[in-house]
Order: sequence, then structure tokens, then C-alpha cells
Amino acid sequence: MSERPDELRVCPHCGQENAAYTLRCIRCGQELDELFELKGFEPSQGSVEKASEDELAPMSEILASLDESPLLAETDKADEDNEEVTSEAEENQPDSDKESPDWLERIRQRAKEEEDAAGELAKGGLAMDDRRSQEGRKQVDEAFDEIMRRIREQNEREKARRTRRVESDLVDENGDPEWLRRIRELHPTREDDSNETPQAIVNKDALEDEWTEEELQELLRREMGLPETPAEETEEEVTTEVTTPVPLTEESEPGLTDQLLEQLEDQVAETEPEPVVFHNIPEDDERTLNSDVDGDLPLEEDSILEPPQEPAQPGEDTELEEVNEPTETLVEAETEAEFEGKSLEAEEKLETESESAPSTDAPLSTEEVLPDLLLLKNQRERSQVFSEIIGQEGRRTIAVLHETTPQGKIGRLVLGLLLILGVLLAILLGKPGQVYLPLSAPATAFAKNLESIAVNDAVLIVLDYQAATQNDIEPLAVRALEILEEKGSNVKVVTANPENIWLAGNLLDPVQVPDEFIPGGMLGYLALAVGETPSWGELPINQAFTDDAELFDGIKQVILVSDSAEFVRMWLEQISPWQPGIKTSAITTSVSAPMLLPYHDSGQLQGVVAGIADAKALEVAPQNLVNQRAFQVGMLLMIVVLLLGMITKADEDTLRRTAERKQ
Amino acid sequence: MKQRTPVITAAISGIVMLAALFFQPFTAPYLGLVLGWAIILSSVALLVAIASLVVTHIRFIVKGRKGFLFSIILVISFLGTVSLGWYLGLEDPAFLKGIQSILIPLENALMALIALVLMSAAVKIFRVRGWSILTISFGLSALVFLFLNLGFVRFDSNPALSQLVSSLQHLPVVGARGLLIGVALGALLMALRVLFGQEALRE
Amino acid sequence: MSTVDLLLLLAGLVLSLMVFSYLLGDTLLFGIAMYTLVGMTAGFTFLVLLQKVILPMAIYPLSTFPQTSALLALVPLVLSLLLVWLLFKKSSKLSGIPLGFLGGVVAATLIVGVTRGTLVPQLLNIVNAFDPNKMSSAGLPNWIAIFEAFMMLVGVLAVLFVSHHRKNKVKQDAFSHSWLDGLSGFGQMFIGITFGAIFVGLFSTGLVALIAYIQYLVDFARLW
Repeated sequence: MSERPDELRVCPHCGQENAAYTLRCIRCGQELDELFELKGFEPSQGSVEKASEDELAPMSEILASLDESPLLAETDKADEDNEEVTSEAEENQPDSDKESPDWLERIRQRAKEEEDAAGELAKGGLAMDDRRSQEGRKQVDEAFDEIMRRIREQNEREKARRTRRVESDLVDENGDPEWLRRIRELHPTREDDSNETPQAIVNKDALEDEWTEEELQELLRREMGLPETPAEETEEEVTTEVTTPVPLTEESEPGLTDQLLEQLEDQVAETEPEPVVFHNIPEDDERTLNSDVDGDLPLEEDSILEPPQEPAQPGEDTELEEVNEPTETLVEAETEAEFEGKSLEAEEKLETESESAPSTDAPLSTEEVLPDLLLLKNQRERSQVFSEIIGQEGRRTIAVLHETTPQGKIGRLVLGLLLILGVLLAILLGKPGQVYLPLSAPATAFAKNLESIAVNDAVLIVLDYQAATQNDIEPLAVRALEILEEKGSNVKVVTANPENIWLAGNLLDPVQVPDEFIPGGMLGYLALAVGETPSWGELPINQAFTDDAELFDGIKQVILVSDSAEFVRMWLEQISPWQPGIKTSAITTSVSAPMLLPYHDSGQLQGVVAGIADAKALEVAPQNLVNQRAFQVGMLLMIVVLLLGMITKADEDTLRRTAERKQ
Repeated sequence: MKQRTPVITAAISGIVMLAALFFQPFTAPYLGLVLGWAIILSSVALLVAIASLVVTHIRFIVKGRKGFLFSIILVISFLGTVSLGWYLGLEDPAFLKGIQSILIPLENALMALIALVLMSAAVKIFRVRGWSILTISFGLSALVFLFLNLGFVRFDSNPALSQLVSSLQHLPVVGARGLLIGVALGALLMALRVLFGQEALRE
Repeated sequence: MSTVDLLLLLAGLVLSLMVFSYLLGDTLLFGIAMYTLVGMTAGFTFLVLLQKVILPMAIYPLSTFPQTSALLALVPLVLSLLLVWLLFKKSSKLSGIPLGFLGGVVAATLIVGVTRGTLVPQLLNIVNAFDPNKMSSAGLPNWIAIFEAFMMLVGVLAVLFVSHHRKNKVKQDAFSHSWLDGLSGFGQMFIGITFGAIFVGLFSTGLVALIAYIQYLVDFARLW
């Protein structure tokens, strides 16, 4: 027979070793016509005869095994029918055929045996049909159909399991996700597969997909109710049974012979002495599933999706044990069939959730359900939770009110440049102009109070402002000093702020400093306001004065030149109550003015002039003021920006409400 | 015990000072003396703060801490000012002019920067704070006062208009008065807590 | 213009330009300008305090020892040394004495000053608005004065109520009266008006500084 290696032919396409008489490669389907032709025109007659003997041997063995089958044992009539069929065939042959060569005769014989696309099993069935009766044939068909159904079920499950494995690989093509590693720990053999090259995986899958002899024998024996027989006897039966799925594809059907099948079985037996996987049924692809040959299998496919109505078969248990899954996995796998409908939904849900997962293969159909999806679903959900947690790592969980963003910086820069540009253009292009700012009541009161100062009245000017606000204050302070000087008042300039030592030169003569520096700030003013020189000597603060330490003696008016509302308030709180006869007024900035208005309202401040807006009250010379047009441009820009902020917010709210309504 | 010393000292000195203020003018010499001590102490405290600042930055320079370039600049400018002022005299015109030449543009630029930053703040304020009575009244008030500062309209030409503008300008008095009274009440409460030893100064 | 003046002018110009680098998000140049400002200000203040306060008030009186004034000068001197000790030992218990003394004096002046300078005058001003002489003119009610007086009273109370109501609202969220909310909203309205005026004042001050600075740059450029 074909057990000798020198009779194997290597496929030029994929390198698969095939039987000598195989028409097509059993792996890639490549036509091996050359082999056929060589076989047909074999010059050596002896070799042909030997080959024909080898070729006929398995058929005789099959027939012998079928004769031993209890299903066929009673049919003597079947034998007679078989002889009749054979004789009829011989009688129907034309005379010319009798003269044909021996090799041609054998080919015809073989073609007669392989008359339909049912393949080897069908061929065996034909031989059986010749022998058994109609009733026996029916029993055999039923047994055969049952075997086929079970094999297909197992095939479908294995295929779905493999598809799931492929899909799981698609989840993370760059690395192994956590849940996949856990599954591989549960499936050590598959983990090994993942580390192999694709070609190695294909080869290994091909080997794993083949049935072992013992399994097939056991399966056939169980289905046919035969007692256990030695492996040598059942081997040929199994060979016949196993090759039945092959003719599912019409193209591959004609080339498979009994010798080839036996040879393949021998190969499997040599390469896989230990039964590792369940079957050697080729993996059905889309074309196979949709083929016309499978057209008679819709019920079988549906039965896969339907929950089984009976407990799991012993064969299924064996299958599950061979998966090498832990007990927990087995339990879930045993119940998998009961929940395959749910698994479908779960799979769809998972597919929906993992839309972003990269896909390198065709999408799975809902029919290709993962049998043990329940196991994976739990793990996948946990993996998704983990991935979400990892994804949120480092993210801020508490909202920040003010977050400096690049957009914020750019916006600030743009607005700032806009204001600078506007002011610059107004300075360069326009004339200073004149603005008509409304006079405030405190400013008018300040001017009146200043006018009321008589000649030789002592006026105390208290400086407390920063260089930053000098442009808002100094024009007013300078004008007030001019007025006082015009009136001939006795002006005394003091400060408790070190900065005003070098700023005073802007108000007075450039080289002039304040008349006195008051130590300790407001405490110093208070000490001078409430203190009296004791009989035992001088007070400490008197030591700090270069001149007379009686600061408030003879003072009629105090003019506070300050950019701080706090300073003015402190003065009114700490000093004014102790010096009730002194009128107090203030020259301040626009910022401080609103907080000083209540003091003017209550009469504590005689008057307040605040910034450039009140310059008109003192008739400040325009050259001492900043460019009025530029001031107007700046104010106008701020109005626009403020309105823009309001409109933007309103627009955002509208969009948000619209979105909420849609939701 | 650690907290008691300053609290007790504050309570005693505060009560004595309060009594001295109430019994004016009989206690005027003593009041001047105690206030003089307080002035010296506050000045020393300010000196200690400045010294601490400089020492800290010198330590940063020695350790080579990140950003010690700024520390170098601070120490150099501090020592340069002190040494020049000590050498030339505090009221020397050249020294004061040198200070002016550098600090006036710097502080002016800082105040100008405030105007630029306020521009972007005006855009964000409603987005950050949202709509409320406070923000709406704030926005309307700002718009009104900005418009008044534009100077496009001569309000003094019409007495009624002038009266209206005067009323608008007087509106902030209500809120300011309420705020001032609130701040005053808060300060009063805090001072009383100090006097009664309930406010640990060191905390 | 002397070379020194020119150098000082350029130094001020460059440093002030560094300030505007803040708009670009730069911290180096802005930091250089700021630390220069702080260093010079601190140095000048240090000099002023030393020459105008410490030496004349705390050190020079000791020269008249053993007069009373000199003896009395020892008290602040000792307290000052305790304060200086803070530089070397920040957790010193004795350093709390001068700080406590300072705090007590400030607290006492605050009580008297706030009461006499703000609380009483401002509250009296509210009450005085209801003076019958002010609320009537020629025997007829002055409705404007009456309106203003009530507005001031209710407005100030509402402003004072705002913070109190906000605290209570946080504490007891469910407890809410419509009229209390209305009063709080009324106060918020006046606070918003005041803040709006302050905002415009701040912008006005900054704008004036900006205009002056740009004018300074333009004048500087026109020099050349």
C-alpha cells in the first residue's frame, strides 16, 4: 500500500506530501494532474498491478469490516444484490471495453466507485449498498448521519473557538492584553501557539485538526454499537468514516482515494502518536459553509445555536477534558451551549464596545458565536475596567476654576496687543483731544474745599502712593500744590512710605524730598496725633524728627495723596478722631474712589479727586494729562471686550440648552 | 505654653493700650511712649523680614537651587542699593534719581500690564462665574461707568442728565458702605478676640 | 544727558520691556524684572528703616544713658533683640513676646479706630438720613430723600446679609426662604455695582499707566 514513503508525492505548491494517486493536494488543493497522468501511463505493468492491488485492498477491508458490523450482519441478501450489481456492470460493459488496457479498466472501475461528490464515505456507502439490504442501508445511513452531525458540531465549535482566538488577537495587535494573558495561562497549549510563526501555527492547526485513530474508532464504535476492537481492525473503518467531510467541497472530491486516505491516516499516526485534539476535519471556510453541498445542513447549523435537549455526550466531555481548561472553565464550557443565545448578545455587545479595537480580519458574524464567551465576557469586562482605570491615571479628577491653557495665553496676548496697538495708533495718529468727563460730587467738593483754604493756613500733605499710580495721581497733586502755592498756604509734605522719598521729587522740586519721614506708618501718625512730650524727656518718635515733632500743630487742612483706600480709611479711623479740627480731603486713584465715597458721604472727607476723570475739577493743564484720545480708545475697547464676553457666555448657554433639549 | 506667651502678652498690652486710649489726654505721654516702642518693634520686624528674605536667597545661591539666577539678581540689586545708599546718602539726589530711573518704568509697566490682563479677564469673567445677580449687576455697572468715562457726551449740558449721572455715580456708595461696615465689624471682632486671648497670634 | 543717566534710562527701559514678556508666557525675563524690583525696593526700605527709624529711635537714645529716656529705650531694644532672634531660631518662645506686644497694641488701636472712624460715622450717616428735616421740605415730604434713605438702609442691610445668608445656605441647604433669598440678591446687586465701579477704576488707572508708558517709549524713540 502507500505506507512506503517513496510512494508519496510532494506538492509543488505547498510542499505537502500526497499519495501517489492523489489528483489534488490535500492541503492547498493544487491539481496534481501530472501524477495522474504518470499513473495512467505507467510503463511498468507490474507496478500498475501492484498499485491496483494496493488500491483495492482498503475497499475490501472496508467491506469486510462492514460485514462484521451488526448493522449489516443479517444481510445475505445484500451480498447477493452486490453480486448481481457487479455482474450487471460487467454485462453492461461494451466489448470494446473488454479489450481496453488493464490500467484503463482500473480507472473505470475507480470512476464507477467514485460516482458522486460524496467522497470516500459515499464510496464506502456504495459498496455497502451493493451488499446490504434496504433496511440495513437505512440503519447505516442513520448511523452515518449521526456521526456526521456530531463531527460537524464539533467542527463548528472548534472553528468558533478558533475564531474567538483570532478575534482575541485582534484586540491588541501590538501586545498581549491582560485578559488574553490570563486566558493563555488557562490554555497553555494555545499560549505556545501564539508564540509561533503564522506558518507554524497553520501547520500545527492542521495537525491538531485531525482525528486520531483511537478517537475515530471509538466514535464509530460507539455510534454503531460495536464492541471495542483492536486498533488494527478499526483503523480502516475509521479511515473510511473520517474522510466524509472532504467532499463538502466539490473541487476536492474526485482526487481522494482510499490509498490516500489510508496514507494520511498513517501519517497522522506517525506524526501524532498521542491524541491531542479531537478531529482532523478541515476547517470550514465561508465558501464551504455556503456551498450547495452544505445546503442540507441548515438544521445541523441551527442545532448548534439551539440549547441541547439532552445532557452532554461522553464524547463532548472527553473533548472538554482535552482542552486542558481548569475546572471552572470546564463548568462554564459545559453550560456554554445553554447560553449560546445569550452569548450571541454578549458578543454583539462586546463588539459594539470594542469598536475601536483594530481589526485585521473580516468581522465576525453573529453565527460564529464564541461557545465559552461567558468566560471571556467576564474577563474582558474586567480588562476594560482596568484599561479605563489605567487610562484615567494621571488625569485631573477635581475641576480647576482657572486653568492656564495655551489658548488662554494666546487670547491674553491677542487682547493685550490689540489694546497696545489701539493706544499706539491713537498717540501717533490722533491729536490729544478733549473728553467731556462728568464731574463727580466729591471732586467738586474737593475743589471747593481747596478754594476755601486761606492765606497762611497750614496744610499738611501726606504722601502715600506708589510709582505705579503716579500718572493717575501726580497731575492732580501737582495742581493742588500749585493752587496752595498760589494761595500762599504753608504746606508741609510728609510721608511714611519709603518710596515717596524718591517720588516726591516729581511733585516738588526735582531734588526735594519730603519735609519729614514719619516712622512706623500709621502708628507713627497716631503717636504724633495722640502723644505729648513727657516730663521725663523726649518720646522715641521725637528722636526721628529733624524739626519740630508737633506735626499737627496749627494744621487746618490735611490732603492725603494716596493710591490706597485702606490708607485713607486708616487715617480717618486712627488720626482724624484725635484731630477733629482738621479737615481732611484726598487725592487718590480711580480704583480707590468707590470705597472712599461713603466717607465723603458721611462728611469725614471734605472732598475726593480720583484720577484723570476728576482732573477737570482742578483744571489740570492738558499737557499734564495723558493722551485723551488714547484713553477713549482704551475705554471703547474694554466696552467691546466686556460685551463680547457677555455674548459669548450667552451663546454658550444657548448651545448648551439646545443640546440638553435634544438629549 | 508655647502659644500662651504671645497671647497673654497681646492681651495685656492691648488692654493697657485700650485703657490709655480711653483715658486721653491724661495718658498721652505713656501712650506716646508705648506707641514709640511699637513703632520700633514694627520696624525691626520689617527689617527681620527683609533680612530673612535676603538670607534665604543667599542660601538658594549657595545650594544652587533651581532658579537661583533670580536669587542672584535679587541679592545683587539689594546689596547694590544698600551699599550705594549707605555710601552716597539716603537723600542724595543722584542716588534718588538712579532709583527713579529704574523703578518708575518698572512699576509703570506693571500697572500697564494690569490693564492688559484685565482685557482678557473681562472676557473670561462671565464664562467662569456664570450668570448671577452679582455678575449681571457687575457687568452692567462696568458698562455704565466705562461709557461715562468715554467722554463722548457732554452730560453737564443738560441738568436732568447731569442729575442722572450724579445719581449713577452715587450708586456704589450703598455697596461700599455695606462692605466697609462689614469689614469694620470683622476687624473689631478679630481685635476683641486678640484682647481676650482667643486668637493665637503665632498660628 | 550724561552717560550714567543714559545707562540708567536704558536699564529702566529694558527692565520695563521685560515686564511685558509676561504676555508671552515668559517667566525668565519677567522674573528678572520682578526680582530686580523686589531687591531694589527691599534695599531702599532697609536703608530707610535703619537710618530713619532704628538708629534715631532705638540706638541714639542710649547715648544719654543713664537718663530715663535712655533706660526706657532699653525696653524696645530688648524686645527687638528677641525679634532678631527669630532669624536664628524660628520656634523661639521668647520671640512671641514682642510679637504679642505688637499685636495687642494694634488690636487696641483697631478697636478704637474702627469704632470711631468707620462704624459710628457710617451708621450715624444712615440714621441721619431719616432726619425729619431732611425728609421734608416746605412742609411736604421729600420723596427723593425718603427713597434714598430707605434705599441706603435696606441696601446696607442686604449687603451685610449676603455673606451671612451664604454661610447659612451652605450649612442648611434645604432651609430657604424666598424673602431671604430676595434680600441676599438685593445685596448682591449693590455689591456688583460697587465691584463694577472698582473694576472700571482699576482699568482706568492701568490704562493711564499704559498710555503714559507708550508715550514714554515714543518720546524715547523720537530722541533718536
